[in-house]
Parts: sequence; C-alpha cells; structure tokens
Amino acid sequence: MVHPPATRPGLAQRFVQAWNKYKWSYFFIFPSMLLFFIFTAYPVGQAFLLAFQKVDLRGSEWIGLKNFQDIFASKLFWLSMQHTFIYAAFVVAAWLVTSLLVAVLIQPLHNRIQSLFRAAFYLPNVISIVVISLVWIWIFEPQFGFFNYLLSLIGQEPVRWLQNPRIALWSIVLSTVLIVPGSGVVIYSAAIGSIPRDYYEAAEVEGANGFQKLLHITLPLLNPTTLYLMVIYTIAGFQIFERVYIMTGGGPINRTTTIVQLIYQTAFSDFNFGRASAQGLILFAIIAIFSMIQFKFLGTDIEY
Amino acid sequence: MKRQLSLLSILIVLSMLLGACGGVATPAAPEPTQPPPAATEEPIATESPTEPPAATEEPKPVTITFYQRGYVEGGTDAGTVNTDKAVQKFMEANPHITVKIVGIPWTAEGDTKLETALAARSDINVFRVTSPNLPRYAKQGILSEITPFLTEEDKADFYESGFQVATVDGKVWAWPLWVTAISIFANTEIFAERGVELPSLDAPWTWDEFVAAAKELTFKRDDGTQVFGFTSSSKWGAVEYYPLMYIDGGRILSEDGKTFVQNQPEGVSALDKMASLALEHKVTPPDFGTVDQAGVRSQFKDIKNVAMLMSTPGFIPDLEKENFPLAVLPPPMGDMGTLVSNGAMGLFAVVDVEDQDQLKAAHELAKYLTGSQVAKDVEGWQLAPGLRRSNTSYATTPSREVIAKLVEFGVYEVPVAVPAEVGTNYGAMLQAIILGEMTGQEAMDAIAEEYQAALDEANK
Repeated sequence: MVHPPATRPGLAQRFVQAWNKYKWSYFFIFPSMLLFFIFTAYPVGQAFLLAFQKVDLRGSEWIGLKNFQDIFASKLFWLSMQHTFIYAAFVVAAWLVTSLLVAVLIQPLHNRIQSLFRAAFYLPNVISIVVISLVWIWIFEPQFGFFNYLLSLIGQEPVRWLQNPRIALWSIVLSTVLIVPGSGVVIYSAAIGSIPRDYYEAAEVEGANGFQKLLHITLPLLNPTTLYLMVIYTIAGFQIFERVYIMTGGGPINRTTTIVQLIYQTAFSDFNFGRASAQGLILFAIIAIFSMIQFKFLGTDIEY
Repeated sequence: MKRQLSLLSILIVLSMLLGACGGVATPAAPEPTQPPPAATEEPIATESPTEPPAATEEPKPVTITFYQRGYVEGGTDAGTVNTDKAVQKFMEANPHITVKIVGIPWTAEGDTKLETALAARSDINVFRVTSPNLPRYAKQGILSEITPFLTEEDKADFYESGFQVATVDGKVWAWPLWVTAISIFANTEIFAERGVELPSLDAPWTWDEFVAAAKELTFKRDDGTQVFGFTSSSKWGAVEYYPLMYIDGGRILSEDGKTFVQNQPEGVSALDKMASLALEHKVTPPDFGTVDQAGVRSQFKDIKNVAMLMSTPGFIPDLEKENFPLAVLPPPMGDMGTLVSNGAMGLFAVVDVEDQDQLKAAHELAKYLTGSQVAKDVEGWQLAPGLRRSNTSYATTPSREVIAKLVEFGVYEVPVAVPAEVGTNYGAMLQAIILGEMTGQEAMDAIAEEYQAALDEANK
C-alpha cells in the first residue's frame, strides 16, 4: 500500500499555527521589544546613518566617509585613543588581579564572613560615580587634599595630582584601581566556590602547596570567568567618561581626554552629530575587535 | 488573572506610547506669568523703531517665544523675576504681542535644548546667543539681521564694539545688551594687612607694579594659612584672564579676522608675562591653570586665601550681598601703556521666520531687552555695563563705576566660525603656557598653522 506523501502546511497556515501557539508569548514580550526598538535599535540605526552625514541646523546631507577622514586626521582623536588604551589596559589588569586576589583571600572564610566581605566590596558599585569622583577631587586637591596631607607628614612637597598634565591621567587611573570592583569579587567567589573540592584534595595528596593549587587548579578553571570579566571590564574601560568629565574635563592640555569624552564634546559641545556618530562607530568597532580577540585566545570550554 | 495581566500590559504599552508622543524635541513653552493687559490700557513708551499704528488700524495679534538662559518658570531668583517683569512691561507697551518664556539653564543641557529648538525652527523667536556660536548660527541662516530694524538713533547710541562682535560677513546679527568687562577684584582687608595701596583708573599699575603688589600679597599667616596674590579662572575654555593677553598690544586675530597673529612678539610677550605669575613669581595658587570659575570664586570669597581675583561683573552682586571688603581695580598696563579690558558680550538674537509680523515683534522684544528703557523699568536688569551710550543704569556704586568705565578700553575679536576642535586645541595651548609645558612662542607657533587654515576656510 502506497501512502500519499505528507503535504507540508503552507506559509500562512504555519504562521497561524505559530501564532496560535505563541501569541501570548509575543504579547508579553511586546512591551520590552517595543522599548528596545524605540530606545536602542532605532537610535543605533540613526547613529549609523548620521555617521555618513553632515548635520547642522539647516538639516543633513550625505558626505560619505568625510567624517571618518576628518576623525583619522585629527590629532585630538589619536590622543584620546592613546589615553583610552592606557586607561583600559591598566584598569582591566588591576581590576582582574585585585578582584581575584580578594576572592581567593576570602574563600577560606566562613560563609557569613565571606558574605560580609562581598557586600563590603560591592558597596561602592551602588554609589553614584559622580559622588565618588567628587570625593576623589577632594582627595587630590593640591592645597588641602588628603593625599598631599599624607605627603606632608613625610616631608614631601605637594603634588598637583589633577593639575600636572604629566600625571593627571595616572591620577585618574589610580582613583579607579584603588576601588576593588565588587562585581568581580562576587563573580570570582562564586566561580571558585563551584570548583570541585576533589581536585584540591588530590593535589594535597600529591603534596601541592597553596600557591601551586592556585596556579595549576584555580586559575585554569577560572578561565571562562576571567574571560567574561575581561570582556566586560574592557568595555567599561573603553567607555570611561563620567570620571574624566567630572575630575578633569579632559584637561589639562587635553591630556586626559578619552574617546567617549571626545564623542560627548563633539556631539553636545560642538553639536557635530555626524562626526560624533562616526566616532561612536569607531569605538564600537574597537570594542568588538578586542572582544573577539579575547574570546579567541581565552575562550576555552572547561567542564568539571 | 490572565485578563488582569493582559489589561495591565496594554496599559503599560499605552502609557509608554503616550509618554513617547509627549517628548517632542521643542520644550513646551509656558504660559506667560501674567496675561497681557487689555488693549485699552495706556502703553508705556518703548524704543520701538516703528511708527505707532494708525488709530483705525488694529495691529495683528502675534505670539512669540523667548528662550531665556537661567529662567525658571515660577522661580523666585532675581534673574527669573526680572525677566518676568521685563516681559510684562514689554507686553503692556505692546498689547498685541504675547511673549511666551522658555527657561533654559546655562549648561550643556541648555545648549542642547536651544540647538534642538533652533533645528526645529519652531516656537523660538528670541534667544541669548553666545559670541562663539553667533558666526555658526549666522552662516547657517538661522538668524535675522538686525540692521533693517535699527533707527539712526540706535546706530549712534550703540558702542561700536557691540556691533563689532555681532557682525559676520558684514552684517549685524544680534542686539548687543552688555559686556562683562573683566576687572580685578581686590580683598581690601588683605591689602590693608600687607600695606599695599590700591591702584585706580587714573593711576593704574604698570606690569612691574602689579607683580610687586602680587608678591607682597603672597604670604603665610602665623596660623599657617597661605594667601596668594592673584588668581583667575583658567580651566580650559575660561576667558577671565584674557585681558592680560592684550596688554602688550597683541591679539588672537588681526582686526579683519583673517590672520592668526598671536604668535607675533607682542602677543607672545603678554602670554609669557601671564605664565610668569605662576612659574616665576609664584603668586598664584597651585591650581592656577586648571581651576574653574566656581573654584576661584570660592577661594576669593569663602576661603579668602586670594588677595586679587580677575573675574567678570556677574560676581559683584554675590560679594555685595555679603558685604565683602571689595575694591574693583583696572587690569595692569603692559607694553602698550594703556588700559585694556575684555569680556563676553551679552547678545540677543532673533530667529529668521517667514511670518513678518512675528519677526517684527521678535525684533521689538530684542530691542526693548537691550535698550535703556528696560533698565529703567526693571531695577537690577543690568548685570553688566550696557552697550548703549544712553544706558548708564549700571554704574550705581564705585565698584560698578570702574567696570562701566573699563568698557571703553575693551579689545574684542572679530567673530569667525572656526571648527570647535581648533578652539579646543587653542585652549589647550594656553593651558600649556600657564602650566609651563611650553613657552608662549612654542605654543602659539604650534597652533598657528591649524588656526590659520581654519580662518582661511571660514573666510572663503
């Protein structure tokens, strides 16, 4: 007996079936999708288009790659890139090391004590960066600041932390790395806690000391966590803005201008939205490339 | 339960949509604080350039929108109250004109709101324009030229410098209100403590005398407090030390605005003198070169660790309110041998619109707000010396008299629309000089080529 071939339902029919099956799902995600399209997808699309236009009060006109040519010919752009890379490199490295160090140090403690430390380290994350920056301005104040007070106790001359163009960027880096990132501590603590104890016990039987266990068990097994943190910290590092805007405004002598600070200045001080959008696209490309590189070299699958 | 959730979701979506619809780019204009008086009321004389309408011809009612910096609807601060009074007086004198006031702050947020309104070119007729933005707006066709609305009397009444800073491509694009003539504010108690005599307009300090005084006023008190002789807002973009740049006869641009000339000897020597205050004579606080206006004003008024502050007249009301021991001094003289002042111009611009009645009404308002009559109608309107010869309402105290007299020694640059990045780099070079990273010659030579290229482009 020959069975007739099963007929595949048509597109309209499949749509109706899917609609009947999933309509409530679509209904419930509709508000968030609407918000996403209005406040994310649409502005991103607009920014992409603006990057190829000259925008002024008369309207806009297509100018092809002129905005990008102007950006790459600008000394200030390259200076801001240099500052951004320096900041990101030092901050990402310092944040990874300090958050790992704190997570490892609190790991042997009792659960409640661990929670206390995690909360303490996470606390600065909930404080506005504006407030933190203002506090740092006072710490760095050349006449009455805390750091110069400490220096005076050991007979040192006051340092112009944010006024000296040669050290202003490093002062901003210092103000960032001296606050241990709470999110990193929490994430590393959770990751370390999920490493099976058997590995450590086996290593102890073999006579491994604490440092060897850290080097040969903990660190390799934390690779996925490190990768994740490295990516989000790199993105955060490249997007440094508020701290610079509040503490130095990009000065002195443009020595702390970063790429996002430049984008802000171009858009909302110079009102050159086309060029600012092009700068934004360049930043997006840089972050994407860095993330891909990090995934390629650190993205190993680990199962335990 | 499902039904309730569905209804809730729909409500959320609708409220978001309505919210999005409400967020139009142009801020909603508030209603005038008081309705215009009935047309039968006797109008107050204004400086209207137009003939009053014939008795039989009723002027067409027109509504215009006035963007005012620092105005807060319903606010009780002096600026807001004075703006309300001025607009009310104007509407009383011009019953057919209704003025809506939109307040915007003196911040980047205010700039953004203004740019958005100008881009939409709707519901904006009169606004305060800053000198650096004037050439850009003029070149982009946003502004209405004021010349057709000037009477011969007006032309004779305004100081030339007022028109000079509002002129782009040979046309005047804004109504000059005042100039924030920069002077030196002195703490007379510190002067008395150190036995330093105050200079005057008739006998101003030479540069050497100024430096000697600043050195004498830089000292450490017995309680360890360090007092500094001189400071000024000097963060990137600050202009309050600019008069010092002109004392040797130098300028940023040539008088026709076509050549960058600050790398010439008279420009460079003034810059080096300015830097020497911090680097050689050490009479300035350690943040000189990077400190903002709020910072120096706090040092001078609150901490009182600075004897002389170079600043704008807008600070005087604050000092007077606190009975600060104040004397206003002229800036020192340099190689030029004459007094020099500088400052930002307060200008009101009118947006070019097709409706001729609205355009005319907007110019009437701008003219009134920059005239002598408003200074009589509204006490405290004039926060800086006016740019009309007939407007003498500012000089009400000895301090203000000095500032008013400094107006005639003003040196101002021709407005030229150079790219913002050139301005940024120029500001950075000035900072480099003050901070001792470069000499005046090195810094000005470094920026000269870029600045000149921008001028050439702008003057094409």
